[in-house]
Amino acid sequence: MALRLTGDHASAMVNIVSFTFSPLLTEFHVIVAQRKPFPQIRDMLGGYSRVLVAGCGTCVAVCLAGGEKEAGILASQLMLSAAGEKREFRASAAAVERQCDREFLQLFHEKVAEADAVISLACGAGIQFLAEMYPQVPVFPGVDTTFIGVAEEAGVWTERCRSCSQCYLGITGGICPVTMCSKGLLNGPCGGTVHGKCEVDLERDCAWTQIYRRLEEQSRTDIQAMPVLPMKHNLRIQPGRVIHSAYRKRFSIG
Amino acid sequence: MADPFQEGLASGSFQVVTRLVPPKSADLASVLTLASSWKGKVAAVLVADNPSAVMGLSALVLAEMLKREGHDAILVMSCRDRNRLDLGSIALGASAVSVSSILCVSGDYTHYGDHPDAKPVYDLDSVQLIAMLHEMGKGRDIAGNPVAVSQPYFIGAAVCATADPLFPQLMKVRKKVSAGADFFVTLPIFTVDQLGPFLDGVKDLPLKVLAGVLLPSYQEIAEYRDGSIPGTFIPDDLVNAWREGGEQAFSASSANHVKKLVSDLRNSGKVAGVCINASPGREPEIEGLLRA
Repeated sequence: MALRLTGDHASAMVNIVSFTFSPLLTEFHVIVAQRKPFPQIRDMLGGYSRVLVAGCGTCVAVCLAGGEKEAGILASQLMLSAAGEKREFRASAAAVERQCDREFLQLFHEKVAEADAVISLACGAGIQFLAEMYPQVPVFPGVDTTFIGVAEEAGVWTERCRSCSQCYLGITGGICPVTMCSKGLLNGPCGGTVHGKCEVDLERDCAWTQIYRRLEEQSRTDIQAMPVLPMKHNLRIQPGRVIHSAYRKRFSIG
Repeated sequence: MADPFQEGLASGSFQVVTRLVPPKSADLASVLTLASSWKGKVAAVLVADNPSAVMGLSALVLAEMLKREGHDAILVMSCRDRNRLDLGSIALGASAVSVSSILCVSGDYTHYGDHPDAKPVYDLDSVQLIAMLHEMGKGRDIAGNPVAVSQPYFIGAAVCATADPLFPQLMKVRKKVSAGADFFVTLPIFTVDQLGPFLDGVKDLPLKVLAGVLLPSYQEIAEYRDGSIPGTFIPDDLVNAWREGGEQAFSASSANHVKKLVSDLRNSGKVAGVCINASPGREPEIEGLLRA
């Protein structure tokens, strides 16, 4: 666990906690989030004067929405905005490697103790875990968590998985109809395909055109000969919980 | 006892069906008047279900009213707006009021309509909805529970015969047949030739196909590009000719085109019938197309 203070960033009042990225990190799939518009964040924090901007060094850092750098920038923006209003205000920025892990979250302890509000730039899971660990302090979201996706190219992320708990990829040529088809259709394209593009957005590929072509390439279209049964939504009762078989005894699950 | 539409289709006679869009109103007078102008000239009235994702009166209520007025009705059920429980409820309700012909569609995506923020449901897709109705007709709901319906459903399926690429559509058509589809209705076509590749692709299947035809609005033609009307592809030369003719000439030329198309389809022997659609504002002109 690498945690080090790297000193001030943009303002004397902003401290950055940083860590070392694994070089493999950028090859991972990511939970993609987008920074909320600044006016929305500013309005959420209207009544507070000592704010911790909590970054997360994994997914939201990879998608340039909520890592160390973005936390520092947001803290600076908040400071400048408050200065413009001649309001007494202090924002500090800190980041841990992952907000979805208690071991890392506890590193925020001292920072949170100094704050009267926290704005987390982690995904929705991280924000909730942070709020759970520090229930005495209001925690606000600084990003809108958008999807589980991949880095298509520099600065472009696209969704790939809706975590449906019943993966169909084996019969769809490795292309997910639940995610990649706008309607999530399991048995083929709707009637709206436009020259291989999606009726919902002509810039996007029609998932079922892609699936059919992939299966054709693999001489496997026969795998789609019969109807696929409806999705079992009872496998995806929210909130989801998974206990690895090796840990069942510890958690008293038969 | 089979419905007139079902019997007509089985008899092999050319079936003419007209599509009626439920109004955004609880007053049904105008649509019932419109339907009465078609009486005796059509095999059935196909009742659309929130078409183009625009919210309107319940399709089942209108289908029931049409039945009461002596029309045969085909109820459209879209997967977009309801989950499998509600689809089952509506199917039971339809059976209770003797609406047994049901056309199953996925449904245009919500963002096309007047409630773009709505949650698109698609709990089932159209293949699964067909299978659900087929099973209900045999006495089981989609979860396997016993269910009682008045008679098996006469199940319709939609297809885009002009899709590019066509093969994925053909794959889905075969699934729909396996699931229990009794007849198909194409999305609108504009020439008999447009049906060629599709009919070639299903020639080994004993399909009863109604070709969809459309009386479009001038605005749709003026703004037309592939994709602007979901699942509808209008040949370039026709779009250009209609645009060049101008709005005044369009009304007559498009009506003549559709009337001739219906006649050509009837004479071609390639399809079991037609389903006549009219864009908003042109519904009263359908009656003119039905005259010999």
